[in-house]
Amino acid sequence: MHPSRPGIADRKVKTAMRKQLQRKVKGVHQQLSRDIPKASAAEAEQLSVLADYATGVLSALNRDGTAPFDFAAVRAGEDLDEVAQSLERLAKKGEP
Amino acid sequence: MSLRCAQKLARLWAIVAERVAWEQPLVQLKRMRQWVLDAEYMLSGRWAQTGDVVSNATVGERLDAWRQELAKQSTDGTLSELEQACLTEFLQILANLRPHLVQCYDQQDFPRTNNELERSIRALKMQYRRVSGRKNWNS
Repeated sequence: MHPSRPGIADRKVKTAMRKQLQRKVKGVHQQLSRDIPKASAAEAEQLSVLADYATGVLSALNRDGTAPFDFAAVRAGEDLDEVAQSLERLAKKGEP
Repeated sequence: MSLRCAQKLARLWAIVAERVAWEQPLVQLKRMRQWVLDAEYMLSGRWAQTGDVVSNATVGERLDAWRQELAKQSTDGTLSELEQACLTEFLQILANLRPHLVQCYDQQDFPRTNNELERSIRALKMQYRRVSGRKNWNS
């Protein structure tokens, strides 16, 4: 059965997104936190940038919305789009 | 970029790419949010150009026309099941509230919402809490 209010639908989508992605991102973040102290200075700097990205993704997934005008899932989706674009630029050019 | 960095970057990218699974629900949510924003825009009277009259009649006319348009949308089969359910509920609420929503425009200087009053009460309560040291206004 579908929820009959957009606010409830928004919450369901946001929860599903968080359940699916949060654990994986946290895993990567933990790996990065473990690797940073062991890495060389240059590599540690690069890894810390990636750790910041992971933190950004976690923040996006845990966004709160103020209904009825601000939908958390929509905002989270927009934020993740921006992160994805930035990661793409990073992969191509090596710059955030 | 080191190999380890490249691997982590690829992993992060792959995780973020999983968001496409929610592309469709997010498009639906954006459409539904737009209904609310449109209703707010219509009731705010921001649509009025210089010379336009914002009155109960003009706002009501616009609102009713828009509601009819939405009602058509809800039956033409273009919307998903979720959107149809939400739109039906939204139209029902709008129909119930219509007399209350469209009645402030003919009275000059009468505010459309009581947000200003609510804000002033909040400021007063915050000040009281600071002065008294109590957490609860009612205690």
